[in-house]
Amino acid sequence: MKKATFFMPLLLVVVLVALTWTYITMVSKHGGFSVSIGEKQGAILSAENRAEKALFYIDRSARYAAETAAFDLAENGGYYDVPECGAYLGVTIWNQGTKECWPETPDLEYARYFNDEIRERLAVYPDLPLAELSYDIVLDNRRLYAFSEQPIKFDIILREPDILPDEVVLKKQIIAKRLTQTYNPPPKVSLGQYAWPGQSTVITSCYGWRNIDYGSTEHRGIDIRAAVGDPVYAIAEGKARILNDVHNTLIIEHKGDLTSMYLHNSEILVLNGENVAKGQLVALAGKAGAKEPHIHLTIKKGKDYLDPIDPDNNLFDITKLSFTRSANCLYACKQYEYCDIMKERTA
Amino acid sequence: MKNLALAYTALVLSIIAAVFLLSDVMNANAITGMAITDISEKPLGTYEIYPHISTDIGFSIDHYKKLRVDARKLLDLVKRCDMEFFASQCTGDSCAMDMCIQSALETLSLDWQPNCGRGKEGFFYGFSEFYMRCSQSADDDCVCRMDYTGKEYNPGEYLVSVIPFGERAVIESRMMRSVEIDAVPMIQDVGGFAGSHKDYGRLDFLFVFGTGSQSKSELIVFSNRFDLKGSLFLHKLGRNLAVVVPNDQEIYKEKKTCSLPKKTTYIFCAPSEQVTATDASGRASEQSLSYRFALEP
Repeated sequence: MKKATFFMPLLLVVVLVALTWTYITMVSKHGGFSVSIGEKQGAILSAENRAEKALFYIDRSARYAAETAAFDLAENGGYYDVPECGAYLGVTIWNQGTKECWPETPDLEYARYFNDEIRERLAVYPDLPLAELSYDIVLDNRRLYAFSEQPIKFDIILREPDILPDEVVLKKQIIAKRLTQTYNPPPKVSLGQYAWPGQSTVITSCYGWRNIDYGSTEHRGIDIRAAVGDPVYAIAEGKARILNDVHNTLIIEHKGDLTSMYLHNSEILVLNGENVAKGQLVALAGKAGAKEPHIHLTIKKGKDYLDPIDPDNNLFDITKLSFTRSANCLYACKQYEYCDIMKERTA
Repeated sequence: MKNLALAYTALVLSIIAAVFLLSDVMNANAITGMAITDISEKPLGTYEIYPHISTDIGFSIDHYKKLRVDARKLLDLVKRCDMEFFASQCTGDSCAMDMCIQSALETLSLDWQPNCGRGKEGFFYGFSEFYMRCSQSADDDCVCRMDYTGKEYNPGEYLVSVIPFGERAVIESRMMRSVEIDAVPMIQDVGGFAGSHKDYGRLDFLFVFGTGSQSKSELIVFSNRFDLKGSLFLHKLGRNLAVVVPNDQEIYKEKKTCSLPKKTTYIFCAPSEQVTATDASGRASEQSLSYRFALEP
């Protein structure tokens, strides 16, 4: 009896102490963790999803690039550059007198066309610099194998903090807007290394002095026909700066002290300081500070303004453009040799 | 007994307390589902892929080997042609060589199209060749004449433009092809049509090939249309190459004919598979893969 009297209260005390200790331990741990089960695995899956999406885009781009490169190669007689034998009316010559220029390595020439074509398509992929990829090509009968020399890297991010900074919210909104846009590549108007900033190739106002009722009389840029919401593309890679207060302007600082400015946008789809790729969708056209919607493109080299379509500046191919009658191009073009081309293309 | 009852009561109370405490902890969802790592803005790591690609393509790169072999065979056959025999069967510039090449193609069973055929591409090369060879003539103050009977090309409308570009000219076929020629394009007009090469933007030539009287050819300058009446006259004077407006053609008939440089280069298009290609506007479409090259027999 004495034993039981002693044992039961002791048991009670031990149980209470154990329970108290368990409670304190659990509660203290609760305050130290905030990641739910499976969240890390989810982060890995999310990165994998992004990778799969990029791979799918690359696969589709590769298919079209492969066929277009074949077309380009055949058009140019199996060469990328004009061979030593030259060209006749733009057609590659395979033999000239004693010189022979047979296409001995069409696979290597094809690889150059393929890389050009696929880069052009990958340049418009959002957020990832896919256009930097370079491929080694193996052609085996009717199958193409392209091996990337560089990997694509995706950060595995656990999860965003519950309270997002304003710039992160803005970035999420911008990315969401970008994803709702279609990514048709810009038309090929470039003389080489630049992407045309709009979808239309119609110039509605030229560079230089102009006699108009509305807008600046000294027009230090060109106006490209566009509707509100039409895509605006970066002419080259660079860093974005935004001037919301001035006609919703986007400025992109490129290499070589070159700056491009895109005015009157309805939406800007990049962040201040964001690095953009050539041909990337960077804004939606609008009429901020303008009477009619259009894309105003200004290009500067250092402090000097350049006429974007002056052939001397070697930016865009004027023969691929057309001009409206109200573009004032005839007045502006007096100082240039390409006046005649402008006149004939004035619709 | 009294102590035993007290002990049992205490035990039951402690069990109830334990259940209460544990349920509190469970409700807080804090026992399970905890990861050991604290949240961090730094990435957990990097997911890295090499985006290698393999895809079926609608052509074989080995076709170039076959083209090389066939081109060599063609050149060998052309060298052995009896040119006198062919010359006796036709008249005109390069006619004998054209017949010789056609005969060699038939012998080798090649479906290559000299000058890229009788369609728009062939027309473009034919027109550009005429314009370029006239500009290269060693003669001066002379006339090059090109006659169209309407049978040279497939029925249809053919538009080609000559565009002044500085001291040169660009011949262009509606986004399809363009070629630069080293000559200043002008309009020769005695009859009074106003316009120098600095004023007009382009010279458009519209050829409509049909059957019989349906065929016509026009020179279009601004909105003015001149019926070329089946013949195109180019007046070569120095580096200027002027299109003679039809009203003045009679005057220029008396001028000497320019001797054209010997044609040494021949363009071929070898048709092959259909592939999906992107055109200048960025639109993808099925197009015939045509291998283009030029040979000097």
